[in-house]
Amino acid sequence: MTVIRENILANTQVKDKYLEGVRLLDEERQGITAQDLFDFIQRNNLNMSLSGIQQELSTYDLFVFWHVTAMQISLPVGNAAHNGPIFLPWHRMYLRRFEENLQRVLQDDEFALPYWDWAADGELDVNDQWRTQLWSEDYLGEARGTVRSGVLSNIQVRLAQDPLGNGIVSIDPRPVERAAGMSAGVPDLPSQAQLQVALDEPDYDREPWSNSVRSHRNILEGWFNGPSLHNRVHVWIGRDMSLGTSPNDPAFFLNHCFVDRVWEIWMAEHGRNYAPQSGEGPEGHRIDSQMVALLGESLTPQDVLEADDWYVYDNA
Amino acid sequence: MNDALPKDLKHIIKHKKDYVPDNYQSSDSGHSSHHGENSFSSERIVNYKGKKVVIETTYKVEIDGVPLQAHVAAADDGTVHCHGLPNYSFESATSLVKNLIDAEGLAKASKNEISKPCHNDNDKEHNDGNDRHHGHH
Repeated sequence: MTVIRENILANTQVKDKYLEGVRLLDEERQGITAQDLFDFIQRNNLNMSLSGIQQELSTYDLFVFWHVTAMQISLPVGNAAHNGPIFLPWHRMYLRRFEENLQRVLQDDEFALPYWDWAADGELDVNDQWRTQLWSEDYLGEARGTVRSGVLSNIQVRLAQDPLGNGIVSIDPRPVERAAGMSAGVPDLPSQAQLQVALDEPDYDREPWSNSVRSHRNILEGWFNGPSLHNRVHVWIGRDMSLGTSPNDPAFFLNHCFVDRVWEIWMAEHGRNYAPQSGEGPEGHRIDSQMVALLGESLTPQDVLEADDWYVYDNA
Repeated sequence: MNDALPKDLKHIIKHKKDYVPDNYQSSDSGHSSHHGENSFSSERIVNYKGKKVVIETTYKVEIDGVPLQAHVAAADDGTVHCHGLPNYSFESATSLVKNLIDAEGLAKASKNEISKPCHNDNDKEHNDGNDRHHGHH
């Protein structure tokens, strides 16, 4: 079934279901513990550590673990999910798996992941950007400090990347933390004009495929004149959104759903072009590279260029 | 209803060995560790007026005498990046380290109960001697 992804501020029913689905995934247990993830890291020879308390983890925590472990797999360019061409297809696969799991716990095959149009908020006065409806009790809760109001006050962070170390920590459970607009040098969200630069860029990506090139992917990821666009949203929200365990903040999925929508709009304009092609560029970023997958089968960028069988965007 | 969650998820987590695809070429280049000291080197290559320019930058950061374990690198535009704060571009290493210290409190655990040899015989050899990965806690 093809579902329609909408702006979270445009449909309160979708918003309520999203928050409830996140809460259910954070509540759901599969008998998997922090020790199991430590053993997983060792068994798969990942170059990272896991320390901290022993505890049973939720399905939501596994999405956090999936993201941060993919980030820890270094490739000749970037890692298995970021800093290179793989960024957009990997997150499309990842979001689709998250959407499928929300549909499962909500028992609603028609549910679609919502997006947050942060470029629209980027047009507001800088002092109003963190005071919008999105950061109210009825939506995501506090933009600054500990999230103590609304549905997301029930969400607990259990896995956090150690910013000084080389791995993750199974922490004593605590609420999500934010510091929107408080990061030095990043007081505001990206603007429509900055977004348009990414949409106007004709090449998906180009040699040397790194975070220094001028390409649609690199501008949208936010390295070009960065932190910009996607990266800037992570930095602007701050705290949990600033770490490799950023999916701990459900705002992560709203940000990436909008990033995916921008990519979809770009493909509608410029064609479903991806680079590097087979046999070109760094392994792990090619159109036929198997992407790192924990929940669900591994896909390639080629597999996700057409998303119509899964979802479409409103007004895209 | 969709079957989004594998029924054997626990089995997958406990036994999966092929998380990293076989043909992935990992790159730990630029990272050296000797006698508890960590340093990170990154290379920038620029072609300018027919000349190939190679700039190698090495960072060795200690905080209260403890080497920083998170990978640090210089980007082509001269900004400093770090795995510990993956979406940031810093104008200086000093600014980077201040932000890392500010974020440290997000990943505190009251105790470490994890990094002990597992008693599962099948996994024992993987866990023995792996405490070298636990640099900071």
